[in-house]
Amino acid sequence: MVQSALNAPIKVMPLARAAANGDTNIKVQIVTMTIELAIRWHVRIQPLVNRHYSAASVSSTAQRSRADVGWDWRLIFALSKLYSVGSLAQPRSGPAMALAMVVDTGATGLFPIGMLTTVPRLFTNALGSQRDRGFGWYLADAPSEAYTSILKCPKVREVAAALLDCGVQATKDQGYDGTFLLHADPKGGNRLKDFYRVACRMTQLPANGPAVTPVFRRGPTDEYFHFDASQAGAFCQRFDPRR
Amino acid sequence: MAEVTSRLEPEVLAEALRDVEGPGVESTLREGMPSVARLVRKLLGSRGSAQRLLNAVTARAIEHRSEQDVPLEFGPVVTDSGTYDDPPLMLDPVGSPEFEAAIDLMVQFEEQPDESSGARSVERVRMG
Repeated sequence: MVQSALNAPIKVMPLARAAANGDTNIKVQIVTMTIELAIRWHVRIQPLVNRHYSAASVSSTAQRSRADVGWDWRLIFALSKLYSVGSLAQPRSGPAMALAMVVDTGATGLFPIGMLTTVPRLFTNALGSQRDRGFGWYLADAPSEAYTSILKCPKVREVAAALLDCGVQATKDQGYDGTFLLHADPKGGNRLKDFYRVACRMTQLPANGPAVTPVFRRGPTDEYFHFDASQAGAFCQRFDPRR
Repeated sequence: MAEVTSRLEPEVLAEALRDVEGPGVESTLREGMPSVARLVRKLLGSRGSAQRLLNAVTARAIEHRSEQDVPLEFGPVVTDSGTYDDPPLMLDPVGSPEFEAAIDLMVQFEEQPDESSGARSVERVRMG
């Protein structure tokens, strides 16, 4: 068992249907991402994403769109590490964390079914308040095809939401109240926005607001979604029985 | 600081900085982490230098790791027979037809709240 990266990690996730032995859940671990896990994602999962999905335009309602088409998690992993080193020269915000939700596959080792980079303490401007918040940077769940072609098991449900929970837990682990902000990549289409707004019950920032951070993240503010502490608590509560 | 630097192997960062900055970076490396952090932050501040540094770090991080060693299939996974108090609607992976249908249904509920038809539709998605 690898040490968890979080104080209160989710340990069991629901399967979309019963496995061959009749079980309806799968055991998972939330671990610090390694370059080996990033490579496993890049060579086994990313080609499935690139082959079966397309990036959506903002207004598209086309089927099978994902924001992570063309992503390279080896680069995203390295970016989080470089950002963390750079943060030492600018203590206003803290370092990034790169996390993975993995399943233990015995002799073939840990295999990632979810990837997340997050900044547990980022000084941000949102909803009229400048303060430290957790920030969700890059997030991707394994597509359905990964379960059928690689793991040979039923699909795992709720991985994307569980990764959002991981981001909130990471900021809470550092003593903050769980307030959290993220950017919904427009390539994910309207359904990705709807996921954060309706399924996760996050608050969408108003359009034409002030930049979320002074230097980076100066894009359209209505692409950002926010949890206050109360919303984050209510959202994460759904996973409490599975921690 | 020790926690952060331990996650990015110091030699990987040093070699990447040499790749990007050339021999002039040696004095910064000798000065230690505060100077290295300032240099990294400066490089990340420009799109071109940030991309060069990112590519260099990634290349150094993976140079001794073979992608050919990654198995084609993994498993078996470890399952669990427990029962949990879950919400009525749980989403399949992003981009799957089930995910998109469930999101569309949630948006429809939001626009046309109707408790009786909503409950039936949620159950249909859950079973789908």
